[in-house]
Amino acid sequence: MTTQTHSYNRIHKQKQHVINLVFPIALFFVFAVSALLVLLLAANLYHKNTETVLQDDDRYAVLSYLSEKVIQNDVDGGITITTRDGIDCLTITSHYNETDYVTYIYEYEGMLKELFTNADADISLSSGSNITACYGLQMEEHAPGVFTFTAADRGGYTSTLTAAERSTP
Amino acid sequence: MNKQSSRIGASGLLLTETLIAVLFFSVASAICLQLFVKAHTVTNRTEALELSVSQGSSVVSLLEHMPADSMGSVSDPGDTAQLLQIACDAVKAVYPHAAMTDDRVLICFDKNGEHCPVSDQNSAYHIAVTCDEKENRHTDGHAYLLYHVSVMNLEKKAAEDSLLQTYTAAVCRPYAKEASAHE
Repeated sequence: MTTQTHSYNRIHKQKQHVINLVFPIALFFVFAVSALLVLLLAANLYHKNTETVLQDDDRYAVLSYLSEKVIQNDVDGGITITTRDGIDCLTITSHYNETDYVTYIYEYEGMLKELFTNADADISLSSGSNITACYGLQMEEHAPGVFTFTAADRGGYTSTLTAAERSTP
Repeated sequence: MNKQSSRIGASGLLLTETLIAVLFFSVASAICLQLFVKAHTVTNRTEALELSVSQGSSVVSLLEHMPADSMGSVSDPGDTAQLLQIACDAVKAVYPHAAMTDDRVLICFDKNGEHCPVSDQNSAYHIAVTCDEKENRHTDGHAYLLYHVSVMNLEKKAAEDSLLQTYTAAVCRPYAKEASAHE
């Protein structure tokens, strides 16, 4: 009887000991995996947000620049869209010291470029100054002085902005 | 007896410690979840605001561009319906589905920001152009008109959540000369 009791106590004690050890370890692993998941989710969210900000910058930098140029040069309806070497250009005509000048703003080889030149000069569009990276730009003139610009970002998303001259009518 | 009670005491302590740890991590996970939901909401609102800024300013630009010949047909700067009809015609150059209701011009967009008809069930945003005749002036041969442009998110029920942006387009055009020419 005494031997049986001793044996029961030993087994019981051993079982309790194993549970005491296994449970906290299991709990620790659950928490560790949860913490890792939260970390991965947060990193993914941060990455996505940063990517979105960069993509927004790609589009809105181009659109804001074009819009500001239309507002800035809104004189005598001197803004049009012309095609030069097969590329659509926002064309701003100006007159200084009895000479006509023209400013072309266009997308060329992944860059938004600006070229200020004499109206009669035959100059290549590759000579323009780089403004900012541009992943696609479309221009449309709906009516005289009403321009719609569509800019794309590195992810292929597009945004549209309409700018209109007030000096046209 | 002492040994047994000490073992029971140790187990109770371990249980309490485990419970506190579980509670702590539950609270932490609830806070994390809330932050993720908030981040998602902020992202959606940012996208909506981007749309409202680009499309709202485009509408303002179109209203301010309205050609003098269309403004010349205004016979009364207090006639809201007539002014809204002119505004509707002006924005139709870019937004062909723009429609005029009793007191406003509506321009609708779907979730992706694409322009869609007013009757479209998938409309997620709309731009409302209104005009208050009390704010319009007609002095010195010029008509001074104010158009209010509101960009609304139709997916939000509460009025304060649905309003994304408001703009005012100030239009000044020769008025009396054209009006007298019509007379």
